[in-house]
Amino acid sequence: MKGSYYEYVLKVKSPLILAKHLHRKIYVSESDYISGSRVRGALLTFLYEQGYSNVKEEAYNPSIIFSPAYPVMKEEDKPVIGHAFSFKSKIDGDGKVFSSLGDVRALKKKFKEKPTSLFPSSSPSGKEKGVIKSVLGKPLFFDGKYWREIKIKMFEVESTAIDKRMGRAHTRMVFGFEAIPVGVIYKGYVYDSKNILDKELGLRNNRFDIFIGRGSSRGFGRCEIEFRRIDYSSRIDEIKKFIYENRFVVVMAFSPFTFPVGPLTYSVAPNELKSNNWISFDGRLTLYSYIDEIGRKFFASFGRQRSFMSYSLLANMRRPMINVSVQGSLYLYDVDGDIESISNALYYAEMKGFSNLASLGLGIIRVFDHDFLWGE
Amino acid sequence: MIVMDVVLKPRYLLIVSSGKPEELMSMDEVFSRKIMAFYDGNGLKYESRRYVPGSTLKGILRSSATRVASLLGLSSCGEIEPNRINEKHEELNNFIVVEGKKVCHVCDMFGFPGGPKSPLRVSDGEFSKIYVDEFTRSSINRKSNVVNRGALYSYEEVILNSVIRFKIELVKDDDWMQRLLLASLVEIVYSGMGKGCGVSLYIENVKGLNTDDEIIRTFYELLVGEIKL
Repeated sequence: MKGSYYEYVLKVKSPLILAKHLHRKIYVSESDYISGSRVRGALLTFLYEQGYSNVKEEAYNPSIIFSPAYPVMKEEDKPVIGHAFSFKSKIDGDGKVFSSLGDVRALKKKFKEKPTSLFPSSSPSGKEKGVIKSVLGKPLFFDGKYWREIKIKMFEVESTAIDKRMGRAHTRMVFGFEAIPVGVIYKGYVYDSKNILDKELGLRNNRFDIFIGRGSSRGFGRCEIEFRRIDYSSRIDEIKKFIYENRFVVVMAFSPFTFPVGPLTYSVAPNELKSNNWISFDGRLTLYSYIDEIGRKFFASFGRQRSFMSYSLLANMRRPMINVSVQGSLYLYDVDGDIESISNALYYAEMKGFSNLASLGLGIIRVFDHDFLWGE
Repeated sequence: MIVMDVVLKPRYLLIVSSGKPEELMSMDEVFSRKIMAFYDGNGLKYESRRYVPGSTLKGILRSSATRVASLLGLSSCGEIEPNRINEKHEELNNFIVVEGKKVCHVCDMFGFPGGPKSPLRVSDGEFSKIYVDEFTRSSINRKSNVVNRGALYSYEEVILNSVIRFKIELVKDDDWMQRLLLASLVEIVYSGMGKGCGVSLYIENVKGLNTDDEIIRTFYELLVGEIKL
């Protein structure tokens, strides 16, 4: 394997504000995940402050790719998110999560013959009461018996500007922020293609503080980060085995997903995943589709899309907004060509994404070879 | 990069209030709290802990810097309204240029709307020792000299001998910034914090200060011992 692969653990040490929009004068934060671009930006800022001279080079030619960080209950847990066929009962207070998929190998058949079974209106087993709702992209944990959703209770931080002459709060200048509590643990993965983190910076197994999100100069967003190297080499055999057996692959978006299909043009469900200068392979990955008896065409992409915004500290400006599919979305691609080469490409796409948009935390995938929610 | 730990002790009754949690609705003003999360084997559980937000401490430092800047030959616009800050900066004679714009020294160090990230970072103030008491106050009608109807307020306040610790990090090494930071810390002792609470403070574990500079050294020597009025 070229480069090194790490998991990173983020522990929130001061209230964390991950503002996504302003609602009634309160900055609303996202709590389900911390995007890869935020963590990457925070690390680059840390390196810049420490005097690491190649930060600008790294910003222009990314070699360190961060996946999003998802909340986990314990440090040793793996980050898990709900996929497109995961649901929970609306009235079940426990937040027990179940899947309508089951055997991944049967997805193609189910999609063509009985697609409604993939999106039921109530629990197929009848164990979970009432109407159900999707937990697509939501962080999950296994409590030893069931999968459950991790729900983080946010709290509101208020701040006000003090009038320097009057010595009291200034009229109309009260600001509210939703903050993530101290003590929450997030976990994600990072791919370092040039071994910079270990060899040049010696950051492996080191714990240090970085600042994420809004208000870092005012005490918010202090997080402790630790990089732990992991051996990921056995994964390639699992991917290869699945493709050899089925001749298709189910791809799950582990981060918000989009794929460049032309100059400044992106698709959330590309008809074909093409070899490019980021990931190259010999063969074709074509989005599975079928035409029903009345001529309607259905594509095997399951999930939801939303808009994605990011900010460049280097240019000190907002990047253009693009549409992405929500993490946990699933795609069924037919495989045609050299399976060895395609498996290798998918293995690297799990670590460094499908295109250079991965430096913004986009397009990192997982090959969905088994439904972890089924039967547990 | 300059890093220092500051120890601050209230000399009277300190109140730093924020939005109050539901369980404390019976109190009119409660001390600022943050929520701590922990895993208890079944799921996430939460508890609240009193603290002084970093934004409050940075705000106090900024107010203090505004008052001492001119003594150090530095400028301060003294403005907080984002719409008026640029106008005030244009009127300055003593300024520095940031991204092609005139900016006062205080705004350059503490940040201003639309400007680059502030080089000064102030952490949350954590209590290493805390004594809390509840107080009730009323307001007196000046004409009748009796309590105003319904004007009975209850406060949760931190009393003297409590100890607050916080960290200051200054990313830039400029001498004028170090002078302004240390002078502001000294000034807090004279102007107090919160609702008129006098404080004493000292610094420990200092890294990166340029003590060859006479002004910085003088302030540093003053701050290493506890300053109180």
